[in-house]
Amino acid sequence: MADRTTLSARGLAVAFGALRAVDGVDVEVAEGQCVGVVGANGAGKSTLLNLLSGAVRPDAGTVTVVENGRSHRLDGAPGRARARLGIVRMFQTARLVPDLSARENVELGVPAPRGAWLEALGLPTSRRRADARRRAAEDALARVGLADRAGIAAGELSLGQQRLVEMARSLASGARILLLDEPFSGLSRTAREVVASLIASLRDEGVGVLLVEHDLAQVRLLADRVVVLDAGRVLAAGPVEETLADPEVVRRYIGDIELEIGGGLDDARPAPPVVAVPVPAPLDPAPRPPVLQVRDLRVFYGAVPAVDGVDLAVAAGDGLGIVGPNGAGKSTVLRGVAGLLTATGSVRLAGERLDGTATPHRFRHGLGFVPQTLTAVVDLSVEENLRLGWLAGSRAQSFAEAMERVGDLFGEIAGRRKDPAGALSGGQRQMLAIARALVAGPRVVLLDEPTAGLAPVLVAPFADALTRLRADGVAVVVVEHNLGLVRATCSTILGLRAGAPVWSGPTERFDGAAAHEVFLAATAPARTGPSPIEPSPIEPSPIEEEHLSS
Amino acid sequence: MTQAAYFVVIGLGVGSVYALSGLGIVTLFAGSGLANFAQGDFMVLGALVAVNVVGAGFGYLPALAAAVVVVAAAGLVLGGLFTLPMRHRRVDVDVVIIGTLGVATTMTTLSGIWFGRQPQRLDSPLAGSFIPIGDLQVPAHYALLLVGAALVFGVVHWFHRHTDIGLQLRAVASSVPAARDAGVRVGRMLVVAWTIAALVGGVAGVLVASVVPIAPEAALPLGVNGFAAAIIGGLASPAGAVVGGLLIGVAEALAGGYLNDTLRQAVAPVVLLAVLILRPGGLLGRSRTVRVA
Amino acid sequence: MTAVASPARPAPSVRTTRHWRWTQPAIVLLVGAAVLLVVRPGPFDLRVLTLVAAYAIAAVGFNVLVGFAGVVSIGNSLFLAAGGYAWAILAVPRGPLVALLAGVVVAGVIAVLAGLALLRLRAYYFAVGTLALGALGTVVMRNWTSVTNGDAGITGAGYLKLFGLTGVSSIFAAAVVLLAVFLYLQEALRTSPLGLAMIVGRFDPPAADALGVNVSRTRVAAFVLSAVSAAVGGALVAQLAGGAFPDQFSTTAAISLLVIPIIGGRGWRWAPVVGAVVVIAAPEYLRFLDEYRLAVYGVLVTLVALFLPGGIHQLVRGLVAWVGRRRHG
Repeated sequence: MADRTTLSARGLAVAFGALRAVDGVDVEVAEGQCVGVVGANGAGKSTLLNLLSGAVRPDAGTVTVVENGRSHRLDGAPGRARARLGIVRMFQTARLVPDLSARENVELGVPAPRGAWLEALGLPTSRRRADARRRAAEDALARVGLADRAGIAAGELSLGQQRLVEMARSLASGARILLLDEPFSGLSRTAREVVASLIASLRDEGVGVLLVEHDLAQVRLLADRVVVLDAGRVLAAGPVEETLADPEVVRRYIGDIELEIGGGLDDARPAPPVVAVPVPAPLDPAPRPPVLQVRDLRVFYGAVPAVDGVDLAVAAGDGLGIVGPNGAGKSTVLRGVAGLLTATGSVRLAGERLDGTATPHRFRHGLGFVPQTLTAVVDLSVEENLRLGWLAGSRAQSFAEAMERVGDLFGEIAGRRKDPAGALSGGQRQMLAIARALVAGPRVVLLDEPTAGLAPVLVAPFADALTRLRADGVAVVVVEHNLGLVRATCSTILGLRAGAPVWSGPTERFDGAAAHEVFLAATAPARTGPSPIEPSPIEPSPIEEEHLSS
Repeated sequence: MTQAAYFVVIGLGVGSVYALSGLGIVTLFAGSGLANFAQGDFMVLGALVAVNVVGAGFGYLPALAAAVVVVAAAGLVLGGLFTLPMRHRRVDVDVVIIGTLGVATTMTTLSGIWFGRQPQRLDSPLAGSFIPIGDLQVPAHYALLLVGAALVFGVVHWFHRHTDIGLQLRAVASSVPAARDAGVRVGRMLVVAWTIAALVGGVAGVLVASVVPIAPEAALPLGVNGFAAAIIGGLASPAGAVVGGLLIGVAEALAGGYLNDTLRQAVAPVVLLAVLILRPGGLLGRSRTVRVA
Repeated sequence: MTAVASPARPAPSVRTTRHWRWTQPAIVLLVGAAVLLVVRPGPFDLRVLTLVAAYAIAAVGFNVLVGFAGVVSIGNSLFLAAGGYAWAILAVPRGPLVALLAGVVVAGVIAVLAGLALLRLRAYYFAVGTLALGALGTVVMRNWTSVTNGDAGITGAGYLKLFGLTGVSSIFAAAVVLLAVFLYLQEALRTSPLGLAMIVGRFDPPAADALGVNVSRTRVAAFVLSAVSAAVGGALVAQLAGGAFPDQFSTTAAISLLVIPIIGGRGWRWAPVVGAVVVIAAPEYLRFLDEYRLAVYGVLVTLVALFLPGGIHQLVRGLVAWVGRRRHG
């Protein structure tokens, strides 16, 4: 229908350096329709949203809005041009002004009529206008159930309430097309229900909704159509159930999305490893002493615990995988152990207490940390990046010796030592990040989502490198979405949910039931894992700091 | 023609001082994102310490050494002070910039109290020797200015390229989060950056005091000229700051020589504004990718 | 009993109370009247108070610029000068209204042009650009002798006569009335769409863009407002000094202007007044420190910037919260 407001994109593409974040994507959403966008971390979902909302300019492709039969080209136009056409974007983390009250934050969304700036003069005539705006904002807040919070500074609200205030702002804006970026992440169950019913009623009122979401259950509930992204491309698109049942989609995402959000996980079938690497040797009968021991780790974001009482231990040459749904606090655990976030609890490395010390001190004493992709210092050469790592480490061996070791393990990197790190491909950059941790001579290496944004073909060599690292006597702790990689490189698994440990045990016992336990908070029909930890009541977990991903 | 050459040489000499002022600003800006409005005060401090040491009967070199020590100490203290609040929380950089304005006020006042408000000149070791250009005589000190500035720039450049601390400074300048992830002690590097900025400023102050009498109130104009030099290079490029400083020096000398003193004073601000409006990335700055969101 | 606070009712300090927009002007007018009629300060104190009020007026616009829109300018001495010189040149021959308006218009036009040219730059570049603007202003003041009379400045400017008062009392009354007007405007702006747009543009430009706010335009608007209020403040400064002189409007004045809302607590509705009391009055009463007073003042500014970024407002809020906790047990 030509008279419906429709947002459509054709052939959108953008690259960040060597990473083709979005690579020729078509997507369309019309009013009254809800389109889900799903895909693994780093598949390009958030970037797609940035392109549609005008926060990032596309390298190629078009964004068009048809409104009242008139069509507007929008690629290249700033975000505010879209706002005027009724295209409203909601960010993943609530973007409210903390000093303004909830009502004032909502008022910002109320469309300002011509000449609204005259209100700044404080003339008596502006009164009625201000009252109308205030009422509109209060109505919208009432719809999300926050009428009694209108006067409170947004910064004082809980994260779930902040998200609802942002929903209210979208309501008040009279949006025709709503772009939502993971609106459910980090919300409590009740808040999820409120948000889901709001989205449903908006859709029924004729608002077009583009829903980027990890939680497939919500996508199934709300979306009419779904677009599956993979490495920046559309893997499949169409009606929800058919598309999600597509064998190709299932093959790519089993052990990843399916587990993570829990569509239908087949209990009996163990998730097939993505990479063909021999299953690691079972644990020694006599457990070796742990080289890294963490007890009762807690990390707070404000007053909310993001990680609440996590214990972990890993012995030399062993691998520990930390898994869990988005927002479970996995990366936060690593950053807490590395001292990059303020944490309480004890951290012992080879018997030495490291808690309360600064990150560089921990690096010097044998802790290695590999951040997510793209955090190598891109202006420096490969060798200079490695030297930075060596300088921060124990310096037990000379830099030349350390470089030789890198040459043995990662010949590809050593061959490009004079090139700037920014010129490396995504896979090479990840190798560099690990090599940088390695030259420091660490006893333990912590890896934060090492395959996020990595092309699937690169996962196998990467797993291989990790295995060699372990064979070298280095203990490895991996936070990873790709369960195949975890199975291939880790001997034990720790499952986190809402910041608390819910499962731990040897890798081979991490079966469908355990996955249900960890990812779905649902006790699987069969039985529980070997050492199930009493699941804690679900609390609104804060959103993980994952802005860099995808 | 001879006259033009004369003005160019004079301009290059003075310009090399602006270049050093800009180099100090760039060093700190690249390391910490701080626009330091007290850079001119480091120059004044260095100059006035040297003047007083010479006044007490010591030679030029001991005066230079004394200035370097005092200024480095000031840089170290200020670096430590400005790094302290960054330890525990994210700081609002514009508030910190205002902190440097407070430092500028304090240093200007203290210099006035300790060394007097009158402009003071430092006797050059090359006093009395001249370089003939045609029938005009250029004081040899202008050549010393150029050589000294080149030396300082060379040392700073070498330090950044060929030492481990320099490597870590470059890492911090490239990206603070990436450097922190790599285990660089960012706070310490900021103190180092402050100290280098102070040192560069101090040496520049000693050099310039032989051709321009220095009063504490000169700090602000010296700083403005440094900013102009740095902005021409895009605020993050040391080499750009040097070229910018020389350009402004020559333009000032020509404007002062052929036009009038008013226009000479207006050169630096006008150049600065023109570059900001026409080429905000700097005349020589590469166009950095715009950071989104 | 209060220990079992119902969760629906938040602590009082959290609630942003609806602020009656006449409260502040009324308080300022009442205090001003009380000073003139009841306290009757000596000539020195009255001069200081008038200077405080003049700078508070100029700082209202600056509070909007730094506190709402989050833009730092170091060149606002130029706008003080525009107001001051316009007053000194035009007040006697053309009358006070023309003089005041001329200063405001000149400052506003410069601000629009400079804002359009410079405000698309990132924060530091803009700050440095305004520094150059201020420096250029000083060069013009000192050298455009046919208009500004150079270093000697212009004397015999005259002053606003109000309520049948004469001398400094009259200037003080005028300053208080104008301050009340500007504070009213500040509050009206804060609750208007334009003011809200400025604030969201400061906290989160991408989010503001997604909300349809043209961030650079709101920044220019804030810059123009700061220029207008600085021009009015400058006119009062010139009246108090009996004329306009380059030294009054040096970069030091611009720095004072910048420091006022920061010390007060940027964005706070009382920041211009409280900040002006500290920044303008304190050095006058620190004279016992003699020549060290500016050094002490500089150290204070640095320490506040580094360790009390919320300014006095932060202290006040902390105190209120502490008292609140004490009262609730």
